[in-house]
Amino acid sequence: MSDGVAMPRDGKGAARGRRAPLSSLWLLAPAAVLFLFVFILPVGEVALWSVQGEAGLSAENYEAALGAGPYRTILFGTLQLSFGVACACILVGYPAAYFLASRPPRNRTLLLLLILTPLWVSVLVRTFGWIVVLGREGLVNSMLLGIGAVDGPLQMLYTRGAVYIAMVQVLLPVAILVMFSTMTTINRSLLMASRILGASPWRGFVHIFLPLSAGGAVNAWMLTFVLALGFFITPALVGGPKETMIANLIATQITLTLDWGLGSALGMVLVIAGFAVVGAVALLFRRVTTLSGHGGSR
Amino acid sequence: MKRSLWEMSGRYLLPVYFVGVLLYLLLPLLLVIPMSISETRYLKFPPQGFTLRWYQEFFASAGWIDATLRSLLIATASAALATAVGTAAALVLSREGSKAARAAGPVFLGPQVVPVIILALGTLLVFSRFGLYGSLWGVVLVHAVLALPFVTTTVSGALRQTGDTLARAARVLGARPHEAFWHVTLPAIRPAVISAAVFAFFISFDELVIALFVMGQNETLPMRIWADMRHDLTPVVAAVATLLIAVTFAAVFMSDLIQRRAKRRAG
Repeated sequence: MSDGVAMPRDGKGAARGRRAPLSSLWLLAPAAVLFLFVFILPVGEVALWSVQGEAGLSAENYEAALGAGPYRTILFGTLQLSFGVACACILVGYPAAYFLASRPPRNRTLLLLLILTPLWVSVLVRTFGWIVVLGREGLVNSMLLGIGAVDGPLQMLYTRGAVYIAMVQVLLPVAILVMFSTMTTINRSLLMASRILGASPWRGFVHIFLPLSAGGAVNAWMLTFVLALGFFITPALVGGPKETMIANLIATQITLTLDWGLGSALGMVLVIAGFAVVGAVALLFRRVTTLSGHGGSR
Repeated sequence: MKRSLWEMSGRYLLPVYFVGVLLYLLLPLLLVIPMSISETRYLKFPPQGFTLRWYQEFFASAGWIDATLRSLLIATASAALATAVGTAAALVLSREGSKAARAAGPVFLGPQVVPVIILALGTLLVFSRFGLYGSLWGVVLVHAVLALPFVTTTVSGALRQTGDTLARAARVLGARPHEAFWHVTLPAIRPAVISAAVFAFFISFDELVIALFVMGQNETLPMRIWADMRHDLTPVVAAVATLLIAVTFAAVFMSDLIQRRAKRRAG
């Protein structure tokens, strides 16, 4: 019997033998290095620029970003729009995720694939699709004119409504995916038990399924909200000047007015506001999210 | 009465609603296709006539082709980098109960939570400091970081599913760690690695915001589309979009097929 096959007698040696040989911590090193230089460093650089004034450390960029004026209006507009888009994603996506989760696993795969396919397609292409649908001579207008519902083409592009419709479409698959994964962990025999005990399916849904799936909905809301905050392409292409979001403003500061300090401060405000809202929501719905993780097994 | 109403809506209303959601998600994409063969110079629905002119214009234009090749190069390089680095990291992250895994897991999700615009801005600031502005390889690195969370999640999921019993057996029988990985672990997780690579490729290939900030004159395909959409919105965009949709759908179904076949083989 060679040494390599010998089983160590003491528990300690066995534990080491079980863990050590397959992968070393060094395998994390390339990822860590990449991460440090291409993620931590740039974000740190933004933080640095944001507090840099004419002469050393200063809060002037933040004063400009948060003081009364167009920047603050755009900041609140961005928060408001992202809030609305995230809520819409949950409301529209929840029944769809519920339907998916209640299918037998065989059909589920294909339906889920169909829902997720748009995620792979460039946001530019998806937004272009909305220009075709909502444009002056687009699908909706030509249909409305065709049946004589309107006299002239409606202005749908470059409005807040168009931004909502297009942004929800971009983010909806993400929301559905997150809610669906939580729903599949729900123990269905609980619903059956409630039926046997005489509850109506509606009551079973409200008192069992809804609370157990609410955590997924909250998580989906937080994720879509954060993603919406950074939206850049869609508002610029289908929104009007009123729908300018922080990201677009940052781009203008960087490329046109060349005010990198202000651009950085706006970026930091966006990140901090995003984390603050998500943190508040996570805290508010703490009980719901912890309940859902167990899928009713406790 | 109430009960039958609930069941009825579950049986009829919900499927109809689901189809509606699918249409909402997919129809705008599919409508791009007829627009690409319409003869009119501006976007008009329904499409008029039939022409392949816009495709010809795309393939004949040096600007479009250069941008496409540049994007292909960047996406291939960054997918290769993200897949290699991410798979290596997943080998550690998938180990249960490892402290490093528990600490590093959430950190790697960072790029998903921080808005891309911040990363774009930071990248510009860093790149201009180190003279990397307009550099292809700089963008490759950033795109790889964007794809990293997807690669590590996908691959560590597959690793957890297959377990490490076989790899450990190979080690006991005398294989070195890299041999055990190459001959035992990798074949088992190959489908996940492939689909992670495909996903990483598309993350880079479709990425606009960072490229827009740091690429300058070296236009990528998304930058070219963006410029066209902002200024004259020619039907060439519809042709490019159609090509992109075709390639993307093909890739999605291919990687699904690979996954499914692997599952069937595994029993």
